[in-house]
Amino acid sequence: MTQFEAQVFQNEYLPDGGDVIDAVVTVTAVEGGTQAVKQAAEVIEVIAVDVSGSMNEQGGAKIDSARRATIAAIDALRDGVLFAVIAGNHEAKALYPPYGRLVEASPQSREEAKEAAKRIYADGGTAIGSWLRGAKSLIHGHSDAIAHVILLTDGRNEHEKPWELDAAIADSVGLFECDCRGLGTNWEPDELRKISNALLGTTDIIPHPSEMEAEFRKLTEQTMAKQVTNVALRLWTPKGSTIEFVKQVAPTLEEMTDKAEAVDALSADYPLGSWGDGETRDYHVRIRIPTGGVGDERLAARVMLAVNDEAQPVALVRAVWTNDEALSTRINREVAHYTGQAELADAIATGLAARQSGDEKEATLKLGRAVQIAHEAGNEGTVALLRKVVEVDDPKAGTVRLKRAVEEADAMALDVRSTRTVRVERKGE
Amino acid sequence: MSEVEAVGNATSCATCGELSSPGAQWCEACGGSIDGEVGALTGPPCIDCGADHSEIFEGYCSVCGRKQPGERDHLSETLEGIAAVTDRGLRHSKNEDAFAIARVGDALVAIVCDGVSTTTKPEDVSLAAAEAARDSIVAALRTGDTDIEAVLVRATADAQSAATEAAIPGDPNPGAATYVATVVRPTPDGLLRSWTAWLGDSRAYWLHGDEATQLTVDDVWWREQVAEELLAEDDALADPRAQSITRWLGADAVDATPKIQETEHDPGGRLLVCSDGLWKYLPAETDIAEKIVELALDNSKELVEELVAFALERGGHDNTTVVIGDPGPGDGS
Repeated sequence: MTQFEAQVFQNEYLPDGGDVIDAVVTVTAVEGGTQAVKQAAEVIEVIAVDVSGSMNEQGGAKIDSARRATIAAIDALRDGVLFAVIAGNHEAKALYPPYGRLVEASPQSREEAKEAAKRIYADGGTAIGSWLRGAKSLIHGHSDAIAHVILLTDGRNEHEKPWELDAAIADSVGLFECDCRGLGTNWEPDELRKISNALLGTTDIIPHPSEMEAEFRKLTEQTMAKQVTNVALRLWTPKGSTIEFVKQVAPTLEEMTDKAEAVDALSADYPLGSWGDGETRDYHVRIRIPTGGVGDERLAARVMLAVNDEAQPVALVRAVWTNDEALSTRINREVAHYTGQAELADAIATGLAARQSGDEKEATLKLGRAVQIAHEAGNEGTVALLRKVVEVDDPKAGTVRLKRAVEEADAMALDVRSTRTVRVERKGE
Repeated sequence: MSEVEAVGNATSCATCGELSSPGAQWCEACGGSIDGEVGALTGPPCIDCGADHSEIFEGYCSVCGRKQPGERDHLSETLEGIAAVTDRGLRHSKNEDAFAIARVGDALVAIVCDGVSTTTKPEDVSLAAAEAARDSIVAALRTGDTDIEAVLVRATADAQSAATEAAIPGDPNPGAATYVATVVRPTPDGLLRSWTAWLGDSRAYWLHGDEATQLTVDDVWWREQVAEELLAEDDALADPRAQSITRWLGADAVDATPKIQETEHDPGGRLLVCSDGLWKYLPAETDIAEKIVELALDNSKELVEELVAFALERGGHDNTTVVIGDPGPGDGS
């Protein structure tokens, strides 16, 4: 059984006339508990692997890795899980089972699927929207299931119109979650990010074919660890207020503001997808509320967790007006930390774009600032990624020099991994 | 005992049984009317947007979010010869102070408890302790007990029991509260006599003319250091622990034996009992005396309200409780 718990980190004190409240909400799915939510009965894994012609490059290393990675994912499936393998190029083909439906994982079906995976061959173009449509037609009708798609491509979405991909994404929202992986450096990060953001997954680079197998296994195991789905962060906010933004800030930065689904006049749901026991995610919300008088207190938000539309209150975001400046000027540690992490991701994106367009001055400035923030926040993973693109002279001051020779894969890795955040160090952790 | 006898009794809600303040019409716990004659879901509308009472959930309005006043945010009670008021102040989110007053015959009884903010639910402890002490004193006075010092010792022990019971069992940081209880009564020879028992830094004063005399001595760290000749006054006052209270009521109280002060007064004076929410703004006896002279109010109810208003004007940094007991001219009859 799973139960959701939440903790709010905020400075509730506003100066006279103040109307903006920031809060970081930490949501954790814990095992057991008295407020247990309904577990999902079905788990679905669909592996959509790129078999376009370019997968033949590198002397067969890519397509061979695709075969082995698919087999690794199949091996990680638990008995009883529904699954299918899609071979994707300019269209989606059912690789296993050979007819368009899901099959229950068993020793026999896994063997058959692995035999089919060994026969993967590459030809044709790339139409990623058609792969999503293929996954959708398989998963359609299982709206209560934990449904996950692993999507691998090595190229751009060249054989369909952008709107076709957009439509396929829109049709898939709420039906399944999708983690996107780009093999090598000839794929478009923005294309995959668009998919993974809408479908509550992640986008990452697999620089070398040899790393594919481990990645597919890890992604499948993550799905196997999920227990609850159709989870939403439900926010009640007072009449006359505006939700300025809602974003996931850990483990990765994900903009969620536009995903609001109105529940009633004052409440909205922000879909959070599927959760496994022990999982923790942090959200930063900023709310503009009607102001109050000194000494007044107003609820800025009631935070609820809704599972299959059944909501449980988990935390309160409060606003208290005071004329004590020592209180109202305080910035909450968690809020400050994640504001910094968002600035970090922004500095990396701007810095990389400037580097791409040849604006070395701006690139040096922004990437230097990124090193400074990442260093200060203890985000060593991001510092290491930055070091592959810039020479760091002084991490504390953010003094850097652009490297002349940069591996394309390193620049792409920095780009797609810039949204990985570190959590605030808390006492006792 | 004379015929004048009144006790400020808490009322319990007819719907859910929760205790409410005297005179309350609506139950803070269930939102129903205290007498149960109106449906449980009726009650006052939101103080901000006027939304129906049915929109009030867990103390907040479900339309505009405004926190509704807690029943203890501002409470007052007036009996013949004695008036009390307690107020949340402007900086604290709840009122952890409590008072209890009574008049038994010609005796006035005033108790003030100030919950220690850093402990668990101190507001439960302060209220339970104040009411237990009052009930204990009232019961003793009604039986004609004349050993007031012994009455106060028993009342303090009863308050300590109530404070311990109000705590959550096993709580590592159980609720705690200061305590001051005063009984004033006329003497047969036409004078007045007061007995004050206390733990902590809530205070009692005797007011007479343009003078104020503190009847209590704060149980605070710096005074103990000086009294035991461990530190010089300046050094003790400079210590960060200087103002920490050394004795209190609560499950973790080290020593809940009260100090007791018995004093004889000329007739015509008045009793002031208060929490530090007031005296922090008027620390010296002369400050208190000047404020009383400045306000020039004979009416006890007006005086307690004005003293609280003064504390709020000065910033309302803490919960503030004030009791004024006026035994009258004391003609000795």
